[in-house]
Amino acid sequence: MCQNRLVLNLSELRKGEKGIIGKISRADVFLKLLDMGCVAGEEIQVQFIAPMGDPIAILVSGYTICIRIAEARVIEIKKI
Amino acid sequence: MAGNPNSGKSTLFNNLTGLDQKISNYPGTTVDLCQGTKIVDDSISLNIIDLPGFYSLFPKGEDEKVASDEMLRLAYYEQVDVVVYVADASNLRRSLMLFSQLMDLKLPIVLVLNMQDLAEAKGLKIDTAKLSEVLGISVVPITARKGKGIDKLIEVLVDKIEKTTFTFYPSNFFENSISNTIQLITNKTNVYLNLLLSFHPDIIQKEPIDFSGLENKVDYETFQTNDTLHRFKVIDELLLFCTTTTKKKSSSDLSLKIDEIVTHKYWGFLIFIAVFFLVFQALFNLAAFPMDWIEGIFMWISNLLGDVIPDGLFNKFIVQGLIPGISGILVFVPQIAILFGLLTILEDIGYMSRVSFIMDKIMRKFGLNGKSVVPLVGGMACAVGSIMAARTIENKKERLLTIFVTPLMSCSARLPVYTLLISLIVPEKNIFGIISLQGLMLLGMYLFGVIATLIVAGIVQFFVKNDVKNYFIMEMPVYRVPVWKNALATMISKSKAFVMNAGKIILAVSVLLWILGTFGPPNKFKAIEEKYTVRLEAGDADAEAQLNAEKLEYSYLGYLGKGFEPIIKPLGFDWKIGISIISSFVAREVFVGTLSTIYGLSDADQTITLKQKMQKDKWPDGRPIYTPIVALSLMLFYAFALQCFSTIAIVKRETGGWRWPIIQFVLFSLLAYCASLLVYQLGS
Repeated sequence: MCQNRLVLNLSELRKGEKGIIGKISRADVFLKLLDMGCVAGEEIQVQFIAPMGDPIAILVSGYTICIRIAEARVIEIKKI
Repeated sequence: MAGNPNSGKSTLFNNLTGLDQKISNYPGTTVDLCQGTKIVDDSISLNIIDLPGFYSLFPKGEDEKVASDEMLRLAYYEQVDVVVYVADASNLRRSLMLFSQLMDLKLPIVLVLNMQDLAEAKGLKIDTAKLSEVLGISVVPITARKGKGIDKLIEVLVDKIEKTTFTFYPSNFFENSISNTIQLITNKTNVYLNLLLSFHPDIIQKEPIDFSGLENKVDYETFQTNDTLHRFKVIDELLLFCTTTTKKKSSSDLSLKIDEIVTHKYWGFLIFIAVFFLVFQALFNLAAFPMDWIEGIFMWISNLLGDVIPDGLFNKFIVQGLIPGISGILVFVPQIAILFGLLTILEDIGYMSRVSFIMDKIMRKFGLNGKSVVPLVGGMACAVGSIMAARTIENKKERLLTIFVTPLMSCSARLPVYTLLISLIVPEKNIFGIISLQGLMLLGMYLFGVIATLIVAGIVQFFVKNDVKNYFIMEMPVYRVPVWKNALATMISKSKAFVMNAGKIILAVSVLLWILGTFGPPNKFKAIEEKYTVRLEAGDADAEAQLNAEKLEYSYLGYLGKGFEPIIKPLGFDWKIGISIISSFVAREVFVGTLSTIYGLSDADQTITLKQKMQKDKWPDGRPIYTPIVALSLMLFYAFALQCFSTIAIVKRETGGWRWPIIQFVLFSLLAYCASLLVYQLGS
């Protein structure tokens, strides 16, 4: 549907798709990801998705972190 | 020793300290820390403390707070010779963030670049000499899993630790009214340390510090954001200068392929079930042999000592009280060792975090979190350590619920109870040649524990307030070949802890029970003995056994048990089971020790095992006591009841009050009684 938009949420990326992190609009999620080096400007890729579609695992600067769809929604992504 | 989670810290720790470690209370805190010693030579030994992994000095969860507070404390009191910072060389950028914070605390520090093999596989080359020169400290590349570089690290640690002036983030940047105020209290010139202490004043003094009325205050979140972002900038420049990357086929490609299967829609759950099925089969099949040996050896010792020591009270004490007590402890060491060993291997290869990942959505329905899986699975070993492991859950509600239901998972202390009762009612047969029926039944009890855990969590979640911090963000390490030494170290330390902690209680209870069971009101005992004198002198073979049984019935122990019997009779239990239940409120595994002592008293025949004695036991009207339905009722009782002092103590500590442990104890006792009652009344 909206896959042609340039800016979307991390939750809208499909498996294997890549993007650049933009604004993270929830403070707790932002601060947690900040600690792990997952900040605006970093390239990410959706690696795999849990059996029930949630959470998802993303590759960010060489390592994998998992995150729930609910939190992925607050992360803005520029698709590449 | 400090570092991020999954940096291989524990592997390095095991590698350095070998198998001689202890878990101890750090002076002045309530935190359990892993402590070990490395003896370098006659004059030098290193005392090493392993802290929980953390990401920054701005902690998000309880476990991170423990480590981060410890770092501030060490910096403030200047109590540490050296901080060994373990960085994951294959994730250098992220690893160096925390490192940079610790360096700016001006802690004496050595940078260890672990997982060189992974970094090389990724095509990353780190110029350690250059890095060391820039930072002004020692940088040691190692691969802890393969034991590479450890000798060099020890050399560096024994040498004098250099001081450096290198700063990642010039602290005058933060200089403001707060740092000036707190400097008056701390007497430290390090502005970064002062500022961090101003957010955690409990480290330096009991009373909160009054910063009201100050202008130009810095708030915690802004401070963290500026601090972290600036650090990453400096680190990026540093890495540009000290590392080169050649694009290679990354080792995480294989990891990704494995994850395709392990987190697959259908295969994921199937693999999860298969893995735990195998664990429980191993638990029964592998442990059976050493358990038989231990029982055999103790029967032999008991016979030998029984013959050597002159007849009398002392002989009885040794043969009936002490030896069954000790053997009752040691016989379960193989199972506990195997369980902890296998869980460590699963954690080590990276499977446990996948379990959290695939289970998160299901767990959420019950008010839990994917990370709850680790404490819950750990609860199959021991609730005490696992409840502490719940600190990794950032959300307060999910953490509390996890703590609340973890004791319902079938812990290793229930294992002896289940093992004994299952062996009474399930034949020792294999189906399809390899699947043990008893193992299957045990798996059933464990599954029951899981279901009970989830249902209770699902209900209790509606009575707990929610927390603002509500997310599930977790690093997933790449798959690794397990380090056998890690598994071995846990097997040894956990078995040791079981024998020393639980063993002491079991032994004390056994001796106490023997005393209560051997003595009774003197005139009553006299009357019983007189009744049997004639038959004993006539050489009646059954007379002695009957005499012993009757004496036990009228001993102090017998009176105690009989007083309790009316309450538990509706559950199908006799007074001997009643005594065992009472004594196992100290710790569940005491149940078996108590039964061994009681049956050792009533049935002095040392050639048959406890199991055979129990199978022979009958109600006064001749019905056997241990029918399948009674065994099942008893197992259900143990599945629910919170019979463990240590768990109650740890829940009090972790939840900060008596409220939750009391609710837990009352609720679980009620559940235990009702479940047993229902099964026994319906089943008979």
